[in-house]
Amino acid sequence: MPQGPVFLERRNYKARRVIDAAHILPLLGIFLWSVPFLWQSIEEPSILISSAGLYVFGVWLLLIISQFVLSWKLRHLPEDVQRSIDVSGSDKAEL
Amino acid sequence: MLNLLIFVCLLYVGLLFAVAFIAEKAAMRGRGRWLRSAWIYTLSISIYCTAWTFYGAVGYAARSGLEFLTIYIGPSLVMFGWWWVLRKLVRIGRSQRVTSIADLLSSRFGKSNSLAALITFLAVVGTTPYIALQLQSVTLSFEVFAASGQVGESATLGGNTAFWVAVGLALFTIVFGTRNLDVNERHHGVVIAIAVEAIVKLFALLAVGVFVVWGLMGGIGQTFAKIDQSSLAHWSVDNSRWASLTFLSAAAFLCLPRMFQVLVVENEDEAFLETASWAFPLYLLLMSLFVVPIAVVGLDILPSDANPDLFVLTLPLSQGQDSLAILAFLGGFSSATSMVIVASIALSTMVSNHVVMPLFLRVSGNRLSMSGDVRKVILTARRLSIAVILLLGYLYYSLSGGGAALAAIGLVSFTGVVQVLPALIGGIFWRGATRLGALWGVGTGFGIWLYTLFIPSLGLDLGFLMQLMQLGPFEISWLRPQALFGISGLDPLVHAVFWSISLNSLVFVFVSLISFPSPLERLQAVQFVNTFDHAPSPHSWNGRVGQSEELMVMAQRILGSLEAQALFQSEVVKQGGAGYLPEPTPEFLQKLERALAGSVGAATAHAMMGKIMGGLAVSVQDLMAVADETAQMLEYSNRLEMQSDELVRTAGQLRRANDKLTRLSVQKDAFLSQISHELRTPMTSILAFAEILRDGPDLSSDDLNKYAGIIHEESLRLTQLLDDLLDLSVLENGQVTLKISSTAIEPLLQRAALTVGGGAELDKLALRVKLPESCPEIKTDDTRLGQVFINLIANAVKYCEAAAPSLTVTGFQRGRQLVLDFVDNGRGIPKDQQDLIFEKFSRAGDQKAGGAGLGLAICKEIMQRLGGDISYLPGQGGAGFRILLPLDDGRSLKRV
Repeated sequence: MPQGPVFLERRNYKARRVIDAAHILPLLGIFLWSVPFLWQSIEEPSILISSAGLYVFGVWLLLIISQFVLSWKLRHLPEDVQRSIDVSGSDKAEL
Repeated sequence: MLNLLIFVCLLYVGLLFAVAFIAEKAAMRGRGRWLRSAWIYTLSISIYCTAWTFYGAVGYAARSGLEFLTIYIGPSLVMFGWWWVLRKLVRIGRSQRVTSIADLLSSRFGKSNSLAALITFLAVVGTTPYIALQLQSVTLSFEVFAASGQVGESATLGGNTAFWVAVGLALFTIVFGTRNLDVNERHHGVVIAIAVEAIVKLFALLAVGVFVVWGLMGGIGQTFAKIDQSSLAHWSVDNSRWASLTFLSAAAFLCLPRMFQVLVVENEDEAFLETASWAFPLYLLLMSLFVVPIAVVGLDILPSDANPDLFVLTLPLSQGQDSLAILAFLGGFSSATSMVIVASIALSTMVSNHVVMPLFLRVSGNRLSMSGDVRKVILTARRLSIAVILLLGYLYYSLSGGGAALAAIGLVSFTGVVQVLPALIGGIFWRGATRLGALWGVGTGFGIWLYTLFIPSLGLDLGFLMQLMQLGPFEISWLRPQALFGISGLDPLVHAVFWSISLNSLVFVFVSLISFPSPLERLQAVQFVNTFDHAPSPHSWNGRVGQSEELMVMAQRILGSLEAQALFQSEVVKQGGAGYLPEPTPEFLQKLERALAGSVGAATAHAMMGKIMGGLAVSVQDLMAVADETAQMLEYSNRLEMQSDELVRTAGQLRRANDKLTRLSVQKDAFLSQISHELRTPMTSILAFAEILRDGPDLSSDDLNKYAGIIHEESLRLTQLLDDLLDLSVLENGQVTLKISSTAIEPLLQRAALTVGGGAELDKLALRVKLPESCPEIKTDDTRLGQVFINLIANAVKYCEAAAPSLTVTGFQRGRQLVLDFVDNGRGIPKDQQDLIFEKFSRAGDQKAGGAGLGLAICKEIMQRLGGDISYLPGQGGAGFRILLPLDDGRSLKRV
């Protein structure tokens, strides 16, 4: 296997972090939408449906906006990074 | 009222037909660029929102509060995580020409048709209730209007609404879903009609929501207050249901045949996912925004026996908002019809490819390439399947009596279809997943689903069933359908999801670990799991000359003659031949199989190829199976070969570098003697004449002038040489400052020619300049560029040995670069010198002209500073130099 360089240019480094963010976003979503697990144990006064709804919808909107920004950034990745992702599946990508 | 409704409804259906028709026409004429946009793609995904979502979500909210949100949160998470799974699925779908989810799995697991048939069966069983649900929703919504109108009007429809809706849907689907046997299995007309319906249903639900919040409640503040006073005021979602429903909807989003159809099969461009990844969650958010307000107001205003599943319709009706109600009806109608259309297309593809075609192949035996059009068989099979699937849906609807809450059937159906998930995820991420593992895993999950959820959900009033539910089979209590292993008290749905998915995965992994896959399966596994590596395709076919014609006959019958001929001809052109029949190379056979798979599915295509190619494929397979480790050894030796190739390449590079260094060293020695000579010659004459001047005071003024002139001239030569050296070292160290300005090329060239012409050998050289009409001005340092031009022209003057020397400068634009070629008609530069001429101190051959060999080295340095390049252009009939200049406003200059 040919070894890639150890250090990347700033530009490529940044591009890889964008891809990392794309990987992490759904995990963040799972985490934030797991918060309602805690509400069941709250006895009195229990969470009002309006605040619960605001929370769930708020998380939703936050994720949509983040994804919007991310997808814009992903579309403007440098071409060579895009190629190297396609080839190596980003999993084996250099740090 | 009802007549008006039927009229509007027919008008709407007519509109959909028209839209689909226009889209098909546009696509056929190749003008449908707008058909292939990320927005249409996103809208088509919205078939996830069926009538269950449109009407049912409100009912769901009225019964269980915010729990309905899980149905939307799951798919949103999948879209947010598109980089994990969807991207890979779409890539595989495109590279393997996948036609359905069953096809994907069968193709992954060794093109196994048994697996495909199992999944097809599962999909039909899981989807039929869902289609019934859509028919039911349309019927119910019709009845709402009938009830609100005068008595007797409902009689005009009788109980046949569902039947006629089913017939209409079957017609639409057959017309637009099976119009052609597309190689890519894409349906522009259907997709565009669905996109229109997506907009209609969103608009309708938002309209009802706005009416409720601002029309009935009087604003957002009051709405919140009202919600908190209602019976839904408190968060009451059970944790296990919140988690398992979110998981279930996320998994169903990937596994439902209709979702797979729009997400993967109809996908035209991977980049669409980028847009859909945020736009589709936004769509879902908007669809669920007003659900709770509508539910709360409905519970408040409408009589307590009103069906909450129909609040979306009954609320506007009760307020006398007839047009809003009709809009809401159209929204629900859209949701139901779009789901049924896509689901029946997806299912009919699966049924025809994985059930009908294999049977047909078996029956027709070896007469495959003889007579008849297979295309007709496939299309007929698809049309019949669509009709049968809709009929099944209708039968299920009329037999079940249309009872039960809408949402319940939806979730039961989801759980059934989701059993594909472990095999799907395992198949694309784990090379060790095997066909047997997938078969056993899916089978186990499916069985548990039938036992714990589907049969109990039918609610049949049979004695032995009641006994089974309460006591377990043969009174074994730990096998009770809703309390497996003695764990009772769980929500039945959570119970079924938990046990079916976990045991399914467990069996899948375990059987995969202990079973041994066939060679074909292992090859496919590599292709799927490493789909981003562009792994070379495995070659499982070996063709003989003469089989091409048979292949052509078969391909024509499946792909259509024009498409097949185009495919064959393009291959002939690629192989450099003429005519229609290419050599049956393994690559071509592979390509052909993929193309066939796009029409009839991977398993069938493989079988058809096998029939024509005879036992060859089998023998290769047998061979590999016999010497089973062959594949592994092959892999290993391939890797060794690659490594040794790389070593050879590296060694070659090293040798070339070494040669160059040796030659450079020789050059340098030569230069040193050259430069000493160059310095020494003028020095000697300067010394000599200076001595004469000093020692001979009686010189005439003429002689004085002459000798001083010689000293001056020689000093100039020395200074020039030293200047060049200095210039080069300044350039090399990057200490040079560039003066950037807008420069036109032509005047600069003329000036350079004048400068050279003004020197010694004027007008001997014919200079021809051919620049493009609109040669752009470039931002560069014109003095430095001029220096390069002067050097090249001067070189041509000095070295070109033709009788009538000429230099042609040709300019053209290529991308963001301006290319200038300087070509003279001399002897050119010998091949072994070409890579050295840009080195310092190098001079090509022993030429008459003087000079220290610094000119081209300086040119190279200058061009690199200017963000361009200069290189030798061989094969021009003379010495040729190519200059590249950047056109991008001097931006690349700063980098240096």
